[in-house]
Amino acid sequence: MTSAASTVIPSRLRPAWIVAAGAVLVAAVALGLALGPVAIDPWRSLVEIVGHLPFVHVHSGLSPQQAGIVWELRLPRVVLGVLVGSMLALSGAAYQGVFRNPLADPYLLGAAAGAGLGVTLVITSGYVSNGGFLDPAPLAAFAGALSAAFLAYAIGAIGGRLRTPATLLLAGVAVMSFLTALQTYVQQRHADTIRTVYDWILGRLTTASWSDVVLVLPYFVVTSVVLVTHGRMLDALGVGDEEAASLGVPVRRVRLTVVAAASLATAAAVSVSGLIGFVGIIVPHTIRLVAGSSYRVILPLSLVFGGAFLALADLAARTTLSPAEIPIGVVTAVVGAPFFVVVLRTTKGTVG
Amino acid sequence: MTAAISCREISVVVEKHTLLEDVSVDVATNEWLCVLGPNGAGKTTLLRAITGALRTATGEIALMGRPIASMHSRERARLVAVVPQVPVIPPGMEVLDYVLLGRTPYHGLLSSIDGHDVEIARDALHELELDRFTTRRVDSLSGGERQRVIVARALAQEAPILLLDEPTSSLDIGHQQDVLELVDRLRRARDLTVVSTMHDLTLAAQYSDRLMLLRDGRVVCEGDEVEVMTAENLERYYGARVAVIDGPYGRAIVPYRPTREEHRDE
Repeated sequence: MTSAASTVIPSRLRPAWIVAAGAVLVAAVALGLALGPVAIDPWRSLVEIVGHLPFVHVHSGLSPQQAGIVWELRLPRVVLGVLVGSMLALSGAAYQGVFRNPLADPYLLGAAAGAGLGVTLVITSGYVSNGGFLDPAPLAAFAGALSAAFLAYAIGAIGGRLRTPATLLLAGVAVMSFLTALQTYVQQRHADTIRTVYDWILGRLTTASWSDVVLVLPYFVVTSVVLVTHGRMLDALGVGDEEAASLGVPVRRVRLTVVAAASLATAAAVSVSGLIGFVGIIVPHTIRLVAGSSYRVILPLSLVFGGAFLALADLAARTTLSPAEIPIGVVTAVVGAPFFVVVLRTTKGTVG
Repeated sequence: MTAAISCREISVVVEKHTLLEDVSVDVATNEWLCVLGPNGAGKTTLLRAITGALRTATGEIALMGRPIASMHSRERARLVAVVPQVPVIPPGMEVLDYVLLGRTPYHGLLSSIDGHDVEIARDALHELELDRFTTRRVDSLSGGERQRVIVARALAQEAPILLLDEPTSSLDIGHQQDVLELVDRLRRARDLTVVSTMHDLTLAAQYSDRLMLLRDGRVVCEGDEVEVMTAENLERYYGARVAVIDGPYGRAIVPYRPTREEHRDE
């Protein structure tokens, strides 16, 4: 006799979810391309892009002017939004897993503020981005983000056994305030660059160009591969450091690798787009609620849905008060802050 | 024959406190050793040293004849499985996924859980009569059910050595017997070597092959129940007033209260 249990399968990424995520992403991209001061048919915009692929010969029927808007203005912005959203959501999910804390987020941990300080120092030093692989902005951002994440973790660990999920968060807020203060100080001391820094801080997908995309792409590829392959390790870390070690998880190495990769992703995102908060909390949490708590599912889905989410947030940012633009960080905060309160209420006392 | 576990004069020092000092013990394959001792005697420390969670300051621990210091964490996890006293249950995790965590030492970063792992996890669940809980959330189970799920995870690890830290401490007397019977059955069926810590002396004597009494990080007494569980030892090392009663079911320990005269003397 076959028992009911033999038909049960373990948590994994179900094909339906991959299809759904892909569809949402394509829809978000199509909307991002189609909507704006000049309305363009979404389907034709997609066809126009597909037509640019090698060996594909299709004609979108768009005028050269429309094609130019899609290809030179909107597409780089949409692609950059997708990459930044993916990296922020993925690093949020990774921080949550590695710190066993559902409230961890690149923004709230102070990692984004650390990256912000790094970039501000680069801008105020008078350096002009060259868009190359060794651009100093992402590297400075990485150093800042990594230091901030470890600092928040170290301060949060001082409480020892008394610490709760909120302790790490409080430590993160302290680190964030401190780094933001430093950043503001540096910014004020350099009146000549204040406008550049300020524009960048509020989120700067506005000036997105293909060179920004080229700048973040290598970081995106490396950090996504590293983080998505660590899903099972993060699931095992859920039972605590000591038990995870008894299950054969090299705890220190996993923690170091994941924090470094998540901080690198945060830094890359921040260095091209400024400080955009809450993506790292909204996206992984929604996925956790609908698709389950395994990081083997949360990480890859955060990658895709994070991209779609930020593409849509950017769409809201530039169409709501058109022709004026709302900074994208304002849009994500308006959605994210109330969402955060809900997460805070539902996670109370469920983690140690 | 090589002992399954061999501790040679090990000491463990944490933040300048010596938690274990000069402990030597061999556990034979398929033997059940029960580690006794008052709170803070170093029982859990000994288990943690065997799993490699705590580093030994001096001495050497070998599993299946190989020193643990030279093993990778995954190799070690294929030899020793642990049932911790207070396990951390990840919120929202389902029973099957939790038991599959036991397969962690068999996979690197790039390989993933496959049908073979799932089969092993299901066998473990079936062996512990947990089939119907497969899709339940671990954090929604009762204490006794949860304990069995944790044992199932340890079984899925397919390690020849099983360490149990106070496996009965949070259970009522019926469930205590169930868990210990279960461990004994698994030990025989799978040729496991078992080391457990216990507070209940009577049960410890009934289920284990050998007892070891720790006090202040040192081994003070070792042997069978007749040698270890004497009224003098329990008075001396636990500060307990007990009567030792030998009956048809083995040696029972019965605590008693001081008489009025003794109260007056104090």
